[in-house]
Amino acid sequence: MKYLPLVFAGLWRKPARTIFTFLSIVVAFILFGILAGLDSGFDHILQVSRLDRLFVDPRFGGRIPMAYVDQVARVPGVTVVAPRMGLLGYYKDPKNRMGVIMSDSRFFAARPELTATKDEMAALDKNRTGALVTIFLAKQYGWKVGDKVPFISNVATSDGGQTWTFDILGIIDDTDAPGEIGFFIGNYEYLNQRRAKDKDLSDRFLVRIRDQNQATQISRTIDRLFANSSQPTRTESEKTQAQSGLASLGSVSFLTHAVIGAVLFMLLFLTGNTMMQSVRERTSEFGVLKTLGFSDAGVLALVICEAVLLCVLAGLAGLTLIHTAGAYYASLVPDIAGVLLMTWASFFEGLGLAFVTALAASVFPALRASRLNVVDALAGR
Amino acid sequence: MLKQFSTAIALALRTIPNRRGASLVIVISMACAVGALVSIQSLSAGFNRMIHNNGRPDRAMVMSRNSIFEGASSVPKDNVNTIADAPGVKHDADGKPVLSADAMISFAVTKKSDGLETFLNLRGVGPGGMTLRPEIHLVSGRMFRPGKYEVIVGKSAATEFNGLTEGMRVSLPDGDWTIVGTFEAGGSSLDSTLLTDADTLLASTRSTTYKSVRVMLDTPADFTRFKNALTSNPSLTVDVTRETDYNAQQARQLNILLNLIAGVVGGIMGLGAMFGALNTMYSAVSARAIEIATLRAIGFGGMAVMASVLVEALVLALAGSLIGAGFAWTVFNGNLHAIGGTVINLAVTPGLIVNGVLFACFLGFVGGFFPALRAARRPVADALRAN
Repeated sequence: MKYLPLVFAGLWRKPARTIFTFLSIVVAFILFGILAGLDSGFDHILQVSRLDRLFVDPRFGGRIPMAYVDQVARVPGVTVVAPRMGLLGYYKDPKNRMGVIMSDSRFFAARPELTATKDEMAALDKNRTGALVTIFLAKQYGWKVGDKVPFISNVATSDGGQTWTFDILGIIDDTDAPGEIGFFIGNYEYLNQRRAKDKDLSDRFLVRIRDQNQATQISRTIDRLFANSSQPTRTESEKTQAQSGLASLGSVSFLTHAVIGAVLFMLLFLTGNTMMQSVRERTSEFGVLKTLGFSDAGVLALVICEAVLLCVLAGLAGLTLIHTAGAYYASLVPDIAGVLLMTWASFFEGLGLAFVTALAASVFPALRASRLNVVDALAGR
Repeated sequence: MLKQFSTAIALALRTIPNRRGASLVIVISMACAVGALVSIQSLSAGFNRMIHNNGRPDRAMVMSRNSIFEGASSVPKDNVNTIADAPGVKHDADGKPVLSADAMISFAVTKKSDGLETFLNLRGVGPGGMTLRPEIHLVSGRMFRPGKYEVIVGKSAATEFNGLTEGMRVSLPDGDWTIVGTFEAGGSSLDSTLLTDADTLLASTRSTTYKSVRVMLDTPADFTRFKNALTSNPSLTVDVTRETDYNAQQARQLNILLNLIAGVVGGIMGLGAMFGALNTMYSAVSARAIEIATLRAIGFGGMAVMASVLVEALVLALAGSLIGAGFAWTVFNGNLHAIGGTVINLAVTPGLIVNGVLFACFLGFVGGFFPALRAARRPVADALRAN
């Protein structure tokens, strides 16, 4: 600790050089923070997706008949089957594109992370035009309980129109990502009775199973039931789907990792050069230190400490900056919260990388300083 | 005057080897920044080239009204004749309208590279499908026959995904289908799909509606006439879009994302590289303090000294950016990357390289400017006395 002023003095010998090096390290770790946030956003999606929730989808696109529901429900291990049908369209302006999930109270049994109360579910089942929306959507469009919401869809109504009007019965939230997810859930019967064609069809069943270890086996059993029918199914756990979905963004995450590599490489050179220049200029000063009784190891440690102090302080500044900025922007635009919020794990990973970079960058300059011969060094040779 | 400039610049450049370590910092940091920027942009350049190859301004797409994308649309069979009779539709030598009513399904495949699942499209095209899309060429095998469970595979799909080579059987609706040929579609996204006959596909899924109807127009200008005729026809509930507009619209979101990533990564790395350049040039100016002061003392102007420092920074930045862009070009150009079921051919275009080089030159200019100013302004006597 008592050498800290000496370490600082070494760094501050040429303030401009230290400041520019410091700033490059800061921006590099800002970039690291953003990319790490992206990575942990992907991780979060994987964490909240469940193995005990299966999706039964039409194998080749298209729709599955509602008649399958009972057959799936009879498969041993299945506790809930919730059919749904998506209604695509927009609210007021084509720019406000969204999907409405037409289902019933079973949907909430399949998605217990949604905070609908028993009364709200009962109200949805009773009210054909009723709907429950998440806080996210309610905030975005200023909806309140009791509001009538006209929704324009590509699904034609039996009277030839394309407008579906919903009554907001309740505002719910998703506990997996509070305030961040837009869910708009309507009553399946409203759609089924009022649509012009394609009645009694579903685009997906959500299935809950008792034991998540049986996910693969139950999925196979379900698909076997319909393998030779006109509409075969394809069943997968939510987790498996999330995995392959994220893998499809694989090239993006490959690029982010490559970029982190490039940034660290750049830092290594930058810091290494700064330290090397500084050591060269201070040759005679190191001679003085050694004359005063500093050992070779002491000088070695001194140079390494300078690099570590510089890198870790700059890393800390960059990571803190992006951490605070991320939290601030996330509060403004909840959409990107998952992407910008850096976890503490990646915060410390970043600091660790700063430390390692400092070590790697200062090894050669430090060795040079420690090997100096006192007489030559004092002479400035 | 000009002589002064060239002498000062030549002196600065010739002494670079004396400042090898510091000069390398500019080269390496510019190489990293430009390399990263160009690599990321190669993804969006490849994607946009594909989108561009996808569409022609003289092709129009008819989908059911308010369908946001083709997969959500359904056009009843009996609408097809009405659409074919509309004004503006091109007719071939036999007098038949050039159009294709398409069916489409998606099915799961695994990627060869990592074994993970993704979805591909099998598109069923009408009898006029190949006249409508002259960009499709069979490269081997033969065409599918209507009424048989036969498909042809796009060359990107065949190389990137398992089990899609000619002669293999694929599990599709109503049993196994045989791959009888391989096609190439002019670098469009059709290259990562499979094609078959529309009515055969509809029959296999017991479906009665097409996803879309695409028509060739007499000229691109006939679009409005064609569109008005369909949208004012009370027996149809459809939207009409120019094919190029539809593609641009579908590509918008991914484009925004890719541009954002390129902007953030390139911007931040560029800032870091600029600080590195400032550092190097300040140290170069101080290492050459006596040399510069001597030049000034024997009558060289401040401008000549400034120019010499600026040119040195620019030359180093230029070298770095060429290394970075060259690296991106050798590693990524022509690489295939699958985003979902769409295979993108990464493209490091000359435009991207020029942009990267200009970006580095800008950073080098800023990084050299302030040190150059200091070099030019430093009083000669002080500098000569230094050290």
